[in-house]
Amino acid sequence: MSTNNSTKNLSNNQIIKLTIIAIITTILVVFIAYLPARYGKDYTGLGKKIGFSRLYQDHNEVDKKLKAIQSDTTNINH
Amino acid sequence: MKKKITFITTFITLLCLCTTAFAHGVDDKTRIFLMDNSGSAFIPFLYIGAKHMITGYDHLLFLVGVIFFLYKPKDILLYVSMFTIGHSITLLLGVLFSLHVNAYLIDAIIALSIVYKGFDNLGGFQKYFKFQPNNKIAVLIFGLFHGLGLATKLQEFNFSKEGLLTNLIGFNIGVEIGQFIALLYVLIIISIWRKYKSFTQFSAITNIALIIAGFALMIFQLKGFFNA
Repeated sequence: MSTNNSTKNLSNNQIIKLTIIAIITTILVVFIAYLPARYGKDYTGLGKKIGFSRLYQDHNEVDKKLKAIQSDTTNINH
Repeated sequence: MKKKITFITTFITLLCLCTTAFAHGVDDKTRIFLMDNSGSAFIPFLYIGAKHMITGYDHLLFLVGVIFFLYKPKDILLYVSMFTIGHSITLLLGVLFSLHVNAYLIDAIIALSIVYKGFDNLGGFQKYFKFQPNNKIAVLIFGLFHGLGLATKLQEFNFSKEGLLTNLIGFNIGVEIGQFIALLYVLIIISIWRKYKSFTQFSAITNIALIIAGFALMIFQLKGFFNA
């Protein structure tokens, strides 16, 4: 196996630290960015403050816009 | 044992083939946002960049290959940085100078990078060609192609040129954040796996699966290129 040199794996402590970092990062991302941007649910209020809520669009609105785009494309093709 | 290996290889291949159609998919909400947006929107673009990286499994498969046999955090940082430098250059320049490359061809090259990394991890270059390519340079070069792929995707949306640089920087930082989060999980899983015997037993199979997945993605993209 080519690339690599030392075969010392991460210690158990390092893996535990990494896991804690990963879990905290994921929780922060989900509550601050994902939920406000995807579902408009801003439990922390940070989504709006930081700007992730700008991405949220109501499902019906998206459908309407998509239909408009599709009909525009059909008109152009005709 | 043989049955187990065949099952795992077939499962991974089928999984890749099934999900191929969704590679790099941009959902409707994001599409509408990109088309409607005018002016700088740093944070939304940062979010889109991160999301693209986390869901863009061709990029992730390549990175899995890159860090598969890297044990030192310093080495991981070095290789990931080479990849980051590469894709940042072409992502920014590609969009700013409107470089148009066929999306299917670029995605086929990205798929080839996965094949390359799997083959390299198996020691294929030393065994069959009696030489070892400089992996740091290779990762940098493939990083350039991955960035060009991202630039090509972004340009498909024809979004407003107002605030373009800010938005692009946001997108690029988002890509890095997405990459960091995804790699964190990959590193944890690989590090835990390395503690078990099965890592040695299945490392060859995993890299063969990477090669198969890479080829499957490449064939799909080339099919798209020739049918377009």
